[in-house]
Amino acid sequence: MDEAHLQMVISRAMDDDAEALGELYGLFRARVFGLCRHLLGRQEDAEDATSEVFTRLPKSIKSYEASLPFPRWLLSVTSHYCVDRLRRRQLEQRLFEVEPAESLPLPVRETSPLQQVIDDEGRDKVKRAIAALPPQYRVPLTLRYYSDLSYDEIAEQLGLGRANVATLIFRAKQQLRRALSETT
Amino acid sequence: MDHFPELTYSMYVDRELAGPERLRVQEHLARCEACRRLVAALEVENRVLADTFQMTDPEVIAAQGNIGRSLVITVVSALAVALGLNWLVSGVEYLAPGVTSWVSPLNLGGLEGFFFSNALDLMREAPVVLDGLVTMLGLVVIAAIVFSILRHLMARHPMPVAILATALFALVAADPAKAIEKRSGQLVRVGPDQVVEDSLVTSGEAVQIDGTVNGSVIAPARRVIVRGDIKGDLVVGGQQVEISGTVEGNLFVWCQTLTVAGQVGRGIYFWGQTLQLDPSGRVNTDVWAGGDTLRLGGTVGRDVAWFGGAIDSSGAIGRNLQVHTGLLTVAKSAHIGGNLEAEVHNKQDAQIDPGATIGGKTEINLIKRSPSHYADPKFYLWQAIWLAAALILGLILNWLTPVLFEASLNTGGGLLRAAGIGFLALVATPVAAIIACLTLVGIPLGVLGLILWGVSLYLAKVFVGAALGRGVIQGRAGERPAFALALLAGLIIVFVTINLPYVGPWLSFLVTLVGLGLAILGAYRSRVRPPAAPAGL
Repeated sequence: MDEAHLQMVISRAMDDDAEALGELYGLFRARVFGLCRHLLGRQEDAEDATSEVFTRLPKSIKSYEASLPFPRWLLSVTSHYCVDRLRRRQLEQRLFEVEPAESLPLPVRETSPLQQVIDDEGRDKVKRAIAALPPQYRVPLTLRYYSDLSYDEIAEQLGLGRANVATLIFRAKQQLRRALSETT
Repeated sequence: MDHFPELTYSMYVDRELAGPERLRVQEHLARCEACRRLVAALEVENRVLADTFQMTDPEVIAAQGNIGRSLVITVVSALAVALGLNWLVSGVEYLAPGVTSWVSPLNLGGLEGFFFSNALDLMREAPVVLDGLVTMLGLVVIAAIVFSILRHLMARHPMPVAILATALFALVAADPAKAIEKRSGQLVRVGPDQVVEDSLVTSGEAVQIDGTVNGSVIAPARRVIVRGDIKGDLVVGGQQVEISGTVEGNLFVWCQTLTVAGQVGRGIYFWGQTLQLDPSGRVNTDVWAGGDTLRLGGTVGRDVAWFGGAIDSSGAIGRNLQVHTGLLTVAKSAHIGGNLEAEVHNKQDAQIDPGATIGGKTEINLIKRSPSHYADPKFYLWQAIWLAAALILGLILNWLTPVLFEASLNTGGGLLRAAGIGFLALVATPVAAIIACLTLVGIPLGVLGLILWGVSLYLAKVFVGAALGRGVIQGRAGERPAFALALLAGLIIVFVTINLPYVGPWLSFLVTLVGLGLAILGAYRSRVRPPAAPAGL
């Protein structure tokens, strides 16, 4: 769908046009579901969350501003909802441990199991390893590499400092490497 | 040379370093080959991660197909369970000879007489046992709801739920104060001077109780003889059972022949071939029995309910006698304190001596045997008409409020959840509506509630059909299948299922529960509603 047409659909949706909202649903459902699936970890929860995001869309779209690309905005709304849901799911409110942004001396490392991934089977293993990450690592990693958010945007969404986001993503990759080394 | 930490390089490849720091890293990379290799490795990692995240979307389409796979798994599991039960029966026969051998699998006539004329008549036309069946079904559904809730809670709070479940189980499990004594052997005997303090579980060819058992007795055996005293219940599966002593609790018996010449403190629940209550025998409460022949020469304190071939009543029954039988004989010496209600095939099959004493009314009804509706072409025509009507209704409803069809049945959990919600709605809605009607101002609301409830019961099949159809029919990649096609496919599955012999009515009930649940879930999701069917629906 070209940009101009999308903008027209969005503006009709903001006027509560049911057909326009339906078109947005058809266009973005898969992407929203994919993000929910990564963030929440369970298919049933992802389906519920996807449904809820689109249920709220008629209201939430009224706060959309065209300065931000619509897909990015929608994924941001989705990740906000999923993170809230994760927080509610955990007994402990602090979903994300505030990790010190330490600076370690560099052990120079040249190869990682992630570099060996060249085909779909390998990517399946990576996908499973990502799904197995604890939420505090999985969520920032997903927001970075699925939603393409910057560290600042992730920090704002999760209520963390920028340096902590950087550390969490770094730790996530370390844990992925460890998990993949154990399976290969 | 001082290298930067790996965290800094990780931020560098993510383009997240601030200007001055980025420049410093670049200057270092220009001089350090090892760090350049590390940065290259991190960039490859990033690309792999980005590619991996982007390949997730096909799951959305794959998820839609799960219900088809679930159906196949269900059918295969049912077959596996049937085979397993078959092996289990063989195992039981090996461990406790006599329990099933007298029901010969090679004697089709015997099987037919035992199961089909009794069990199926029972399921279709026996109001007394229907109460028990409905209660059991209610318990099963409640258990399913509790299980579904526990399953969802378990996923979120496993430890507290595990502790709670263990505590509940401990409470309802066997009373720790009572132990169980196990005995096995060719002949298990409790001698005349012996007292077994606990409950007794036996395994062997024969069991003979001449002494006293202070608990209950569970005795699967070819032959069981009780001349002594059992304080609790007696549960028997076997061939011959003779009670000339006392069972102070209930008698639960599955056997070929049960002869009671002694005392039963509570009731007899029997399924087998012949039950004989001798003139010296006494049952303090009820007799519920099914089988080939019942001879009541003794005394029954309360009611007798019989489903079987022939009943011969010459003793005393405190209250009512209800029978569904091939032949009823009430002798002159018989005394029935309450009503006599009999269902027989022909009037001459009920022979009541004019000298018999019947305190209440006598009602003899004829059992109507209609030919099987499966042989009637009109049955299929009507089913096709109902299906077409349901299809049209479903299409209209989808056009008016498509969101009602949004709920899916992609997982077992979703199915249980829908059934649970449907059960609550089935039970709670009419109760709430009636309560509303009791307050005068609530009458319109109550009436509306009842109408909606009734309509939903009819439409339940449509919702289940739509959900099933979407699951078994794959649409084009990225889109859902055409609604009309999916609904038709699903409705065909539903109509075939609910018209299956014997299990059809139960499956129809389940479809109603699930359909109600799906409709409520769909309506809940529509409360701030969007759309219209997306493109392709």
